[in-house]
Amino acid sequence: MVQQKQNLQEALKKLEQLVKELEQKDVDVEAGLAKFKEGVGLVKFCQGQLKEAENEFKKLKAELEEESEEVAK
Amino acid sequence: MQESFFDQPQYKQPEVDAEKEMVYSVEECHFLVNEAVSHLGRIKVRGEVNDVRSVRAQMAFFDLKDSDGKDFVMKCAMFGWQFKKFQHLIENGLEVVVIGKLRLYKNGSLSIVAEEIQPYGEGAWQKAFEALKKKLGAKGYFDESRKRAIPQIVQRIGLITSEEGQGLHDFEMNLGNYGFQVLLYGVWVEGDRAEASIVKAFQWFNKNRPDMDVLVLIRGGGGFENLKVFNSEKIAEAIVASRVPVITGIGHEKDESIADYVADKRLSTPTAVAVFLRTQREDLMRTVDMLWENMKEKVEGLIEEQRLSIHSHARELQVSMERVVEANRFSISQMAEKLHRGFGKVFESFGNLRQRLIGLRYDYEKYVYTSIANVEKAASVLSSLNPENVLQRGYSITHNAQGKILKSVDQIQLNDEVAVRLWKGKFSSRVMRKTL
Repeated sequence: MVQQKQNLQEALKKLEQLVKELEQKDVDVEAGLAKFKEGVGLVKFCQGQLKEAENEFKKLKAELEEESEEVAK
Repeated sequence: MQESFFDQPQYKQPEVDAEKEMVYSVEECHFLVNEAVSHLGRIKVRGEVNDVRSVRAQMAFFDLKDSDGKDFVMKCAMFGWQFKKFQHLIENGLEVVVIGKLRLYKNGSLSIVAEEIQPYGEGAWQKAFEALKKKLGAKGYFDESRKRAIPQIVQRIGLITSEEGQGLHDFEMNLGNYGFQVLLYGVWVEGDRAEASIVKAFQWFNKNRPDMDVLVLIRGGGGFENLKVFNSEKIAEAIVASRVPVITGIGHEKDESIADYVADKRLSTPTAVAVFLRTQREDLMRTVDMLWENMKEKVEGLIEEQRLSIHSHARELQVSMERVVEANRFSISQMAEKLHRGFGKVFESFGNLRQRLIGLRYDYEKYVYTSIANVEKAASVLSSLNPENVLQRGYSITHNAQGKILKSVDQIQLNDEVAVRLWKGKFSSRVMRKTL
């Protein structure tokens, strides 16, 4: 889980960097497009990682709440 | 037991009188009496302290009056370290139990030489209580700094109480159903076996079950009389020595016993102790629930935060790309504009030129036509000036003999020959007359 998080953080950082580069003046359209493509790839990756994390969280939550229900009985 | 005075080797037997009875000296009488009372050994006598005379704070002499109202008095004396230990009970009016040995003094007075004094009446008990409180206070038994905190998580409870008492019942009823492990060590909470059994209980737990989270000493109900047991120095010491924290619930609302003062936590009744422990557990469970909810919230928040962050970055990415495209488009259109304007200028100049050229042609045409017109005009003038045309009109040209055209009569003389040219043909003629 920690490793996943690291990749997510790195990806976000890279994304930020790309945006900064794109915001420069006089950006070549072709070079810009290449950066944009890379950015889109990173966005997809981040969203994927987040979804995985969220799923695991939901699963753990359900496990624990099931358990406490058992105990309450 | 001392050797009998009469058995000593140097002693000579008492006299025997005429009636064959022993006649003792006073000294011998003393020893007889002392020997007799020494068989009584150590006795306990209850009475009221009276007429206390203390000597230089090192010893005291007092009377012990019969506290049942009977008119009997015993003399008492106390010395040395025993005196120091019990002197707080040697006070007029206190009902006490004096423990000691009888002794007949040389002057004939019989005294109890006290070795110990126990409180009996309420006044004495109060005195004893205060003295003990002072003593233990000085030792630091009541200091908050030595008291241990009751652990926040209590699972194993060592219960010290009477197995038949109301206290046990109240405790169990109020502890609730949270899975506490309660280990009961039955003791006497009243009577003279109580102190020793309670001390033993504390020692047992500390030796055999030091894994207990807390030791609970409780007793249900009972008046001041029964509270006495807990004013024991030995019990206080056992509590102080206990490595496991101690809670007392000795069932006496207003008064506190020595054990209460020494305990790490004091509650008034067994019920109160049970409620305290139960509430602690309930609070803990509630805290866990709250922390669980917090944690869930935090994690959900984190996920949402990340989602928003990703979304915002994606938007930024898109926007900056659009800007790049837009910037380039703008450059291109600017160039086109410039180009257009550039060409425009060329076209404009060209147009101008063309205009001028057209204008020029027009001017030129105009000039040509004007010239033609002029020439025609000139031609017509010329034509009108053509002598032939003049001749045609009837005029004639006259030449002299030399051929010179005559304009004036001065140029000729009478009878000169002249040539005359008419439109059609010529003739010669002689000048006949001349006029001006």
